[in-house]
Amino acid sequence: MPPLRPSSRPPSHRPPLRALLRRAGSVAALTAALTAALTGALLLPAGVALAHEERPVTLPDGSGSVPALRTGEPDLLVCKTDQADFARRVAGFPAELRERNLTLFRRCLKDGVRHLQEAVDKVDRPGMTIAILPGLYREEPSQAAPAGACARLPARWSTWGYQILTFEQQRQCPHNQNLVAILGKKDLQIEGTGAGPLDVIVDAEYRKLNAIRADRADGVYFRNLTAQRTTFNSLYVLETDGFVIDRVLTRWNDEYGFLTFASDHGLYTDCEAYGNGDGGLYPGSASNLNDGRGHDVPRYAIEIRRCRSHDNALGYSGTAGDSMWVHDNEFYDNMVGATMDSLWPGHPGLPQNHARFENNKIYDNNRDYYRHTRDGTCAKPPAERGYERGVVCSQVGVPPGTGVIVAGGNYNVFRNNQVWGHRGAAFHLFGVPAFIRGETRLHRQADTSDFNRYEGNVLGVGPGGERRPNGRDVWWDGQGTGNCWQAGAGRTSPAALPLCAAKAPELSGGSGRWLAEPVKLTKLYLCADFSAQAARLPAGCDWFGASGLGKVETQLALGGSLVLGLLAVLFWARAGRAARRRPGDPSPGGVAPARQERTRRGRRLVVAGTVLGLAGLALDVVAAAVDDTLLAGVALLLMAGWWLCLGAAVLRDRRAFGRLTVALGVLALADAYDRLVRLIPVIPLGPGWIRGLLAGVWVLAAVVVLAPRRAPAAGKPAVEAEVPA
Amino acid sequence: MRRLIRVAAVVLVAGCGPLSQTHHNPGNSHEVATVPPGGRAGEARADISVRAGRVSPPSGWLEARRGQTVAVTVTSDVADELHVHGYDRTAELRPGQPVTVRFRADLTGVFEVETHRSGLVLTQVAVR
Repeated sequence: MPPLRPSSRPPSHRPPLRALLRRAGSVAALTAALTAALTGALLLPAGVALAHEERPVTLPDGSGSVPALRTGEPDLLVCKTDQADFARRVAGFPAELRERNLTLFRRCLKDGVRHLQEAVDKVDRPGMTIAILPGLYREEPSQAAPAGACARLPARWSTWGYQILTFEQQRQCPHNQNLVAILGKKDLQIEGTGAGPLDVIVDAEYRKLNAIRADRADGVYFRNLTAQRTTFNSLYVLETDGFVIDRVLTRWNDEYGFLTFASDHGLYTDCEAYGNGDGGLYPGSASNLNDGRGHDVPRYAIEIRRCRSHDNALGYSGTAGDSMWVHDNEFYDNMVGATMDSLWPGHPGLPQNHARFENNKIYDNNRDYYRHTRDGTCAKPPAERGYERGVVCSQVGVPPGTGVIVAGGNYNVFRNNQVWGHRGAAFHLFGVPAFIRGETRLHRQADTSDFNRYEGNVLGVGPGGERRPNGRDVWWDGQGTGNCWQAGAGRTSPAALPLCAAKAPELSGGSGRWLAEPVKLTKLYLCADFSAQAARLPAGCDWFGASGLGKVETQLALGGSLVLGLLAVLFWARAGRAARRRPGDPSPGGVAPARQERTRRGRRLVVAGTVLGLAGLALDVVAAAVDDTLLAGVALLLMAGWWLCLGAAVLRDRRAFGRLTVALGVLALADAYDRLVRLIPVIPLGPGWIRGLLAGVWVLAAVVVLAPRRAPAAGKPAVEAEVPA
Repeated sequence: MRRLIRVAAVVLVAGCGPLSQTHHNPGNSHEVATVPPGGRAGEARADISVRAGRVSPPSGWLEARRGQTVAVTVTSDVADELHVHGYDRTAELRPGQPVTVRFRADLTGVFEVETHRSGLVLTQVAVR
């Protein structure tokens, strides 16, 4: 066991902004957001870690190719020696396969080896094949903890608790981190000879980071075996040009089932992954072949087909998952079916781009494993968490019940997939500013979430044609350029989406926003405070169980509605007092009858507007609580009515305030139009931003207008008597 | 100028954007084990359900010591036959009715527990 150092996690930065946002109303919060954003930016850690920490890597030059399966006799055999056990294992095989295995077993007893690593160490030329016979391979000689020089390697310790070793150090001490290490071997094929992957099991028993590591192993081919129970990845392919993962099962890992990184010419086929705390499949930083291209690309770096990934935190995880062709797979019973992102620094190939998802079945990804984080199960050592009994310790904070998340990716295409049965969104898209991934160049800051296309997918229909709707079909934060969706999507947020035309990148109703909608941005910020290590599940985020009034969106709406509602009532009361001074009465201010009539008309406008406004404000809270985009739009329309009525009523006597109020009403109308009917083109910020900021100013102005004044001196008209509101 | 404003706005506001700490701070401990994952004292038990062709929890791994009693309880939504390989224990599964197969683990090795008609591997029993 390598000596583990306690992770030196810096104290959590908790910007004061967050507490502010929770308590304040939406108007106040939105006003505060820009001011506090600078604080938030300054609180960013100066240096951040990788999604997984690894030595500096170089992408292959792309001169390799996807290896083909060799079917000839193996060069090396691996088996155990218990004949009775072997006979039991193969007893149920089809006759021909049983005979083949019995023949290989006799040969293996004579000149084979007992551990996979022994066979790998005997590989002395490119193009060799290792046949591994049915059995459980615990690789006992590789299990020992590092000793001697291997325990004192001069290498940096990552905050994850392991050392970042160079390739040479991996060669020097192959079992510090790996149960089986394939280092620098070319065109090696490792094939299980059983009837299925479960007949050959490489079991790391949580003793190593990786069960099998193929490092700079161009042309490696894995077939028909299982790798399981590690503290990071079961099967790890690194800096390799040409690999195939064929009928391999990986399960019960802290992080990933399959991790292929900085590699090209890869193929995953007929694989399965479950029980992983991050992605079952993680093709990270594949060769960035198509960087700078549009939708027309010459080839993809890695193909994933006919795989099943289920019962993981994420079925598929693609930080810098570039140039991927993912088709005919099933992603189900995870928390999220698939994600791709540009969130983590240090990954070659960011921002993520050009993943093409076609003909996949993505369904019922509704698992919620955060209960294991809450109850302390995940605080135990990995070996004691109970992964084999269905426990998953999610390393990621994500919205359970989601089909596909794109967190800052470009030129991704989702076509002809079937997506059904999610309690959240089928497709979830949001932007990620470049500095989050460590990119400091100014002109790159808004370079994600552009030109993603969602077209021809079958949404909310089960395999038998039955209706299995998703909670909503699309959740988009509104940021980005050139994104589009298919016509006919069901519930979406926003309700109005750009529609894909027949040929990429054409679309209609598009927008090009620099920033996400403000409330969505606030929510993403809050939810991102998740920490697996600290078991911190942000209250207020519905990803972690908040609902109704407990959600941050509802609290923002409620706070804003209370502030605005109070002002509405005060304006109504003020208007009432003014109108009660009848014409002909010896009014204290000596107001003329014509002006009194005008005041009464103003009062009627204020009353009508206030009724609309109060209804709209109440509806806004309800809409946030039940997460209904249409209701939120209607609420905006009602509030617009209030502001327009109020503005018209006060325009004559309070010209500046009246204009401000009318402007706010018009902006609310524009916001509602933007959400419900069609995204307003050209504008770089959604109307919600401008409305929110203006509403903050309006609240201050309204307070000034409503503020009590000293009693007027005798003979002077009272100002308030002239103002209906 | 337009670009500068755009960049400034993004940087400023994204300060409160989606900054997941998930991987900025390491997740749960990756502490490696020094001994084989132990079975539980008493009976080695697994409770498994089969619904719509899906196994819950997904096909598992049950550690047992030689001589220990193993009990596998299965509830299926369809009629099927349960079979423990190696030990050749079988049991009829009736829809919705839990059935327990109990046996003494006298053979060492890895043994699949499966359903014959639907061909599902429910768990593997690893006897040391």
